[in-house]
Amino acid sequence: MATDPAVRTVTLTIDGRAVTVPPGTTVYQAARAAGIEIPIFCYHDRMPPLGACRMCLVKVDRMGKLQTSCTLPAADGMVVSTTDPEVVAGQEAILEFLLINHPLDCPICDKGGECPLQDQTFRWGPGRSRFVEAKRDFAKPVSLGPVLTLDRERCILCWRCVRFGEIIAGDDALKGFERGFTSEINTPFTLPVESKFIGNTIAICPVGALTSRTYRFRARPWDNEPVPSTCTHCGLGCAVWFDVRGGEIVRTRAREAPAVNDIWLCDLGFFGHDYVASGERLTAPLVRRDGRLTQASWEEALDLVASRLRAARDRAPGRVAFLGGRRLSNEDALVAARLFGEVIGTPHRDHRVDAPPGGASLEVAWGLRAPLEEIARGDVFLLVGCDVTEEYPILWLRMKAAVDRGAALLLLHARRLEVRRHARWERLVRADRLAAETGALADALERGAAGPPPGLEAAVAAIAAGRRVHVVVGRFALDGPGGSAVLAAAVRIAEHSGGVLHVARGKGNDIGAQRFGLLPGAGGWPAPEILRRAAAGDLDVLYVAGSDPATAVTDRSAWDAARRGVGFLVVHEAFLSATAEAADVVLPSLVLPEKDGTVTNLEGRTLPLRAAVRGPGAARGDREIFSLIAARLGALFTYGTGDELFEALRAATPGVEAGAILPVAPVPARLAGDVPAGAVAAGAGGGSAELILATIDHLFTQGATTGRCRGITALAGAPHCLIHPDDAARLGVEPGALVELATGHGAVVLQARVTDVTAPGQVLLPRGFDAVSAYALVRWPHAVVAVTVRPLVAAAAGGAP
Amino acid sequence: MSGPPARPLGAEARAEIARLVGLYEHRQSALLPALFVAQREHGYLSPEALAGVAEALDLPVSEVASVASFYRLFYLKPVGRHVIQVCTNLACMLNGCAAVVRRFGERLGVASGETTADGRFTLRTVECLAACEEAPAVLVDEDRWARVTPGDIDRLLERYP
Ligand code: SF4
Ligand code: SF4
Ligand code: FES
Repeated sequence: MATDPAVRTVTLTIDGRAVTVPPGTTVYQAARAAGIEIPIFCYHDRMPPLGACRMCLVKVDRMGKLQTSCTLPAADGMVVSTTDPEVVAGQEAILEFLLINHPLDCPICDKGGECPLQDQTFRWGPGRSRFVEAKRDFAKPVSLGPVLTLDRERCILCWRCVRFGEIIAGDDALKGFERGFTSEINTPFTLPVESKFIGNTIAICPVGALTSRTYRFRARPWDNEPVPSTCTHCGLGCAVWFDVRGGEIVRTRAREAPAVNDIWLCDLGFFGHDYVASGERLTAPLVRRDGRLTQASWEEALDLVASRLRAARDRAPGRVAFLGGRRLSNEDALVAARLFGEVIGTPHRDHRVDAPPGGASLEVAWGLRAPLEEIARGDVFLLVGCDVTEEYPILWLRMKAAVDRGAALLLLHARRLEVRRHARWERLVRADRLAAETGALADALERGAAGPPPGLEAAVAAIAAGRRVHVVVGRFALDGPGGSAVLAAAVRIAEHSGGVLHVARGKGNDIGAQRFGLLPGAGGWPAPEILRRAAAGDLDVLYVAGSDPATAVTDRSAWDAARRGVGFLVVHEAFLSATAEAADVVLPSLVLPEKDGTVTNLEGRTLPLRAAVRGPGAARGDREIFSLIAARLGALFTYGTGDELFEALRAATPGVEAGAILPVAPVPARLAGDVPAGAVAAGAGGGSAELILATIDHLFTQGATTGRCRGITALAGAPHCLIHPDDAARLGVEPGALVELATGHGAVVLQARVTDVTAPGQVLLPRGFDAVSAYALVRWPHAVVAVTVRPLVAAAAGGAP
Repeated sequence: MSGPPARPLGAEARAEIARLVGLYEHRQSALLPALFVAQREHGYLSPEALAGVAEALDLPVSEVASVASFYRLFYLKPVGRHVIQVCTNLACMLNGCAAVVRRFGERLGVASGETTADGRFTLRTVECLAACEEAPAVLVDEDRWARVTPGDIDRLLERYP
């Protein structure tokens, strides 16, 4: 056989056909490449072979026994049969064996119709069983938390789910327990599974052992119409299928996209669609009459909005401002920018509704500065104030793959991350120390040989040795005390190491809003300034779309003052959000899964949206609403089809192509100042004034959308704060007890979780729980305040609901 | 699992586990001996003890619990002061272990898997104590008893107050 030493290949014969493959290819992969199907259960091409199920048997000349093709490397001259009678007998035997304890629940099993065990039994099975003994009997189904159901009788112990947790997600969520005949997959003590990726195990389980609690018994797969679209939760833009049945999204699945999410999703993506079909969607416009919001026709509402906009414009275009964009499509953003920029002529537009004044979030363009695929090839990841699994879950899967190949994960944050077990270096500091610590790290790197200060050695050594360093700065760092100092230090670290600096900031379609004109124009005000001017009476109309500032603005009082000070508030909303409740006109709008168009992910990549379902009642798409208003102001936007709109996007921003990355603006070399590093606003004083309060991001929350997704709401749990065991002991706070957090500005009551995830002297409060207004406790310009914690003695101690 | 366990491992156990970790190239290798340390201290492997071992070894709790569940010498539920394990595998079965199990049951008033009301003994049947040459074999705590007959049992029990 001719073998060129430069391009070495191996050639083998499978079912009489010569197949040439690179060395290291398994017989199974070689067969698949040649279009020859071999049945498998345990093998999964995103994980190394295991050889657990023995379904993939083949016969190889001169090898005594049948071989598992998934573990067998192809060799030159090998002669393989997948159809030999001995193979057929082997396959039948394996299937008969797998089925002896299988309950054959097919009629009531969610997997039915898309079940490899069912399909392979049909194609390769023996047709009858000799097994007459009693089958293995397990209590079933077992609930493993709000989204996962386990049926141990159906499990064929292929270990895919276990290995997913070990190899892909790194969360070790599911494991094998007991042994032999009593082996089972489970969590320790059948506790709720702790994972942000468990939906993937449901997807790769080759039987109905792992099923989704929210999809259970909702549909048969052949009844679903799959619609390809994009997840718009965290901003990474994972490719999804929305499975639609009866006009409702019943399930979200991963759609293969090698450059973005590969074949995975996080659980927010998997279980975050219920809100679309919520019965609380707004279906008709609302107009405030005699102080109350009452239903109105579109004509009436639009006429009113247009007349107020016209009056304001006639006074001065700058008396109108626009806030929002996160929940708009690229096309919506473009049309909004034209309406407010060209037709009304106001430069005051901003999507950065959750950015505090003077924070580093307002100084840089948001987004990643390298493709996810390049990040996966990194050898050092320094995460500064970025909780990767809570904020950008799929980004973690890329990093995990790199860490397994030897990349160093370095963590600097005011909370301990769940991925810390994979980290080479971890530094937990109070929020008010983050800037100083990042600065110290940059200093130590630049000093080089001088020897880093104690505690920083491992980080300095890893960064100094790194060849493909990625520095990721998150929202917590950018908007915390000394955010500009953190950013400046991160820029120095990236420069010194020749690495890439990522600004991990933005959710939904924030990057599209940033790109297509929802940023201040010349002389325009950034979002916090828009609010300040509104409060001061400098605005006649405040127009909000694709955002809920009442819960997103990080100082609740700033929003309240803006609302009081502005004459007329218009809101596009899908729900009667806190912002909508305070509005003068509420226009019912579609949500992103109901839209055709595009969004832009954190990489700057243009991704497709396809309307999976129709909106409720008279709700309309945002860009249609903007166009109708523009028409009333005398401007005709004539975008016919979606294609024309996409052409308009490409004309507005050269370089925009479907599926491709157009990088976001580089990080400026010089950065403006902000709140001095370490500054903490004085609190109410007294008792525990040495405690500070900071807000953090959680993946699972209870906001306007997530609060209307059953699985997500349950995963989020009750509103809570995190308090260090030392502080809890000092203050007499029992784990799970209700506490009152009070600052000089407000107080909230919630559950205390006692955990060393937070630093001593620091209480962490997850944002995104609408029932507890974290931002009522904070007053700009301070992101961190002194706080007192008072245990509510009579409350449900230990009662974690 | 976040936060410290409700009843953490004692300082002594943690020091011993730290010493064990130093003996091996990979920290996973210290898992079995560490589980014995925790079991000796807590009497059995409670969820807290497992969490403590996981923390001490920097391993996932799930992995620690999974390994502990695989081996019969780790107890995931409370046991009596003494644990009697009677082999019921082939060699012992052929040599009359059924009568031994029955006699233990009668004397102690418990079935296999149960603990006497006074907390003195837990009775278990197990597969293979690796003592086929002296079947029927019985393990009490860490003592192995060979060729046990029903008649031996009264005297045997007296040795374990
Ligand atoms: S639960 Fe499913 S994926 Fe996990 S081992 Fe069983 S069959 Fe395999
Ligand atoms: S990682 Fe982000 S984009 Fe992907 S599924 Fe999760 S929330 Fe959606
Ligand atoms: S697929 Fe080859 S052994 Fe399971």
